[in-house]
Amino acid sequence: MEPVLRVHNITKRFGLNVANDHISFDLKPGEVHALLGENGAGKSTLMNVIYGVYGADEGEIFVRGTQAAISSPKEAIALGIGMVHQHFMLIPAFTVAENIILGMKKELRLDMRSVEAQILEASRKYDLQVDPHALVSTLSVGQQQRVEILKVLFRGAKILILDEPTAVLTPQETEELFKILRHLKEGGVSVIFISHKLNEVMSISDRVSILRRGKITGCFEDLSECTPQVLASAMVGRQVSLGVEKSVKAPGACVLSLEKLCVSDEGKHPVIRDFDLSILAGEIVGLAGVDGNGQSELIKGITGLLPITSGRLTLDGTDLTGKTPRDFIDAGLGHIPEDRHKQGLVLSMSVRENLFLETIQNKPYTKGHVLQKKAMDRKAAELAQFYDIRAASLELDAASLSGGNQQKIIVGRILDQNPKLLIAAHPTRGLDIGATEFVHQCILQARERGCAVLLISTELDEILEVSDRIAVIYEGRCMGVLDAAEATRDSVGLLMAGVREPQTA
Amino acid sequence: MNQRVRAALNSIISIVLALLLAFLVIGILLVWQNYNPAETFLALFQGAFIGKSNLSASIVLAIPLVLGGLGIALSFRCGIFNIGGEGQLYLGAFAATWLGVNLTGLPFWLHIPVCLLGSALFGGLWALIPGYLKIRRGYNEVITSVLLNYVGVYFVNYTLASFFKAEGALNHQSPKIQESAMLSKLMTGSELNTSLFLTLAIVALFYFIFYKTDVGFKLRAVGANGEAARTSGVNTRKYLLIAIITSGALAGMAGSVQILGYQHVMVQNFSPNTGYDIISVALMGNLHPIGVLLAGFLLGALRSGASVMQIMIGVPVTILYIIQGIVILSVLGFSYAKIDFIGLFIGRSGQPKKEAV
Repeated sequence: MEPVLRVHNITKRFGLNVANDHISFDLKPGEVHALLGENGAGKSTLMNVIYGVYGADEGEIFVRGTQAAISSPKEAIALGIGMVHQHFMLIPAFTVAENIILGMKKELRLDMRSVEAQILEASRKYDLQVDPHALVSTLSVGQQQRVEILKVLFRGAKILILDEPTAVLTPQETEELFKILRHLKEGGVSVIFISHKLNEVMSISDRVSILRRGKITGCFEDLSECTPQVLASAMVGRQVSLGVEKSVKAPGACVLSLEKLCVSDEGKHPVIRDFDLSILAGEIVGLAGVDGNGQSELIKGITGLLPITSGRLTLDGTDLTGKTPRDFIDAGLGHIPEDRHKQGLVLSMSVRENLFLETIQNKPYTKGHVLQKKAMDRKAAELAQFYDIRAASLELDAASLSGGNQQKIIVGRILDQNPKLLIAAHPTRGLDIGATEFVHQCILQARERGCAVLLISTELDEILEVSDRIAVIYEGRCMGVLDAAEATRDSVGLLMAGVREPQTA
Repeated sequence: MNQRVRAALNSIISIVLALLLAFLVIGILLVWQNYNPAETFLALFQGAFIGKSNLSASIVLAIPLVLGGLGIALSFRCGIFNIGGEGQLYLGAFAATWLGVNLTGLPFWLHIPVCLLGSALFGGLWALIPGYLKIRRGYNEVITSVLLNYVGVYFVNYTLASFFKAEGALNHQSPKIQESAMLSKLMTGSELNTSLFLTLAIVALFYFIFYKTDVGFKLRAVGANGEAARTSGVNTRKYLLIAIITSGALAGMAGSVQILGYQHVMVQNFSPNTGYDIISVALMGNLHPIGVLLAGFLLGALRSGASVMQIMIGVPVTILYIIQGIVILSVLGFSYAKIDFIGLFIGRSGQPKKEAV
């Protein structure tokens, strides 16, 4: 069958950096072709070239056999190419119908009734159930994604590019999405599915192409002969161990205890309600939940960054309710923040300085308020070596490092203080497999030392792999705590969606 | 090349380019108005730098600009924008003058520091108001501090017209300060006085605190990323308050050194616009103490040169404001566009590449 889309020898450079190096890739009608690669492998660049956001430096694009010069997303849409971005491009205050036709109509007069009828017809045709009258702000994330897909199909797209579509979904919502995609396939729509999650790629794709450092390093035509292990190795370029090896260890005394904790967000709206949780020394508790269910507020509440409105928090026996972030740190808290650029690093300061954000006022780095450059240099070099922070010079701005090395600055300086409690919020978000492995090792080592760990992640696989116990957060409440050995994707997924099973209720 | 040297060179190049651009624009204006630009610029240059008296006059004008500019640079670097220098400067000068007039019988080594500290205290307290409103209530400090300028300046002018007016004086002005409160002159026939040493010492101290102590480290961290600083346990409110009070105190001293140094009486509107000029100095100096020192001297020199130019050529002093405006806009433009001049000259090879994991 002739491919609906074929890119040939695409090269795209940014300065000296070659983001796409002579990439050839094709998409057959009615197939789901997954593009798998680590962060920074060039997946997004390639898609942006196809979608007309960037012009390619070399190479051609053929749509349905004819060469096409796509210089803007508008032209891409005219050729039947549609893209659903990871971050939705919807206006919350508009209805579904208004969002869908936004930017489409050329006439002065807008007949919403006929538009709504057309949308309803399209949603039946593609089996994408949405109410055209509903305000987008009232829809769940999964429903919003459906609107995004419908928006693209409504513009006549036959080629659908989905950029990390499952990042914001629960396992059940992911299944829903896959059902929709299978249905679209039957209707002749072709899908490019971008992801770094191996299991999902295995279950939805017909073919998988692997992108590493700007090059296609492999194309797997038949997935039945393929294992996640093989894909992961192709993605990273070496053998990787997927599972995490953990010692069996009896946990110790209670380190963190939350009793009926309530926390409000910056706008004083109550978010965390009556949250009970305790974490013991030497155990990792994973906090699972769909993004935006109060994880940020919970983290800020138990690090002193947001005030606790009611309830009690004790760390290692000390009551810290109503104390400042500094008091929390002095009591033994180590905090790997969820947003490393906003909270974890001062990007315009040097790597060396960033290694001392918490400890600068302590001896031997400061004596009588005067910084001791030698002591700082010695410590910085030690941390850089031990935590494998790769920088041409520690005097460079933290901004000039890659995401993985930036995260190692934070992980290194936090774990070096030997915390009693470690709050690790999305510690591997945006990191490649190598760096992820490293961060997991660091967290496990902290556990070995008897540190109590709270691991917050939206990646269920990560939670299931690393944790000893799993707590699930839904709309600011703790839905339940499961033993990791007994937890399954389904049982955790249901709790993530707010469904309590009878026996845990 | 070292990153810091590179950044410093870059900002110097951007100032030089900005000055060239400013002089080009002024040159066109002069030709249009039938002045000889070469002659005019020569007079400006001579008035600024040539000869002992011209050079010392430049330094005298630069001193308050450097002191106040340092404070503004500190507040901007910390992310709290003190635009209230004018009011703080007037209140500081008022406090110093009042103490200079009314404290009698003190030796000079006590009287002068008391006056200086009084001005720092008043300037600092005046800055505390917008600081408190910002930190506790979330009011925009730019607006509150600007509005307090009017309150401060008019209050001081009012005192000079009422209870603080010198008896028998025709103008609205204060009595003369005591001899013991006057800063000694460094040479005859010039107004240059010991506040020069005070200023240099404060620049050095500022540099040391900002770059060599944990307090400076935290001030810089709070300014560059307040949320990260707070997350890592820094009491950001405390450091924001330190920054704005210090900046007010320095603005207050920028007022008092003029009175104690050479004016000796305070007249209404004794230092118009200095509180705004120090913002220009801070920005031109790239918010760095050494940069502020250079920018303050540059602006002081242009001031003093411009008055000579006005006398000799007849071109009004106000063209200075055009120069100042163009320089600031271009410097800000260059830094916003992140133009790497060194990179343009020696090629990009010296630039550090992004590290792969």
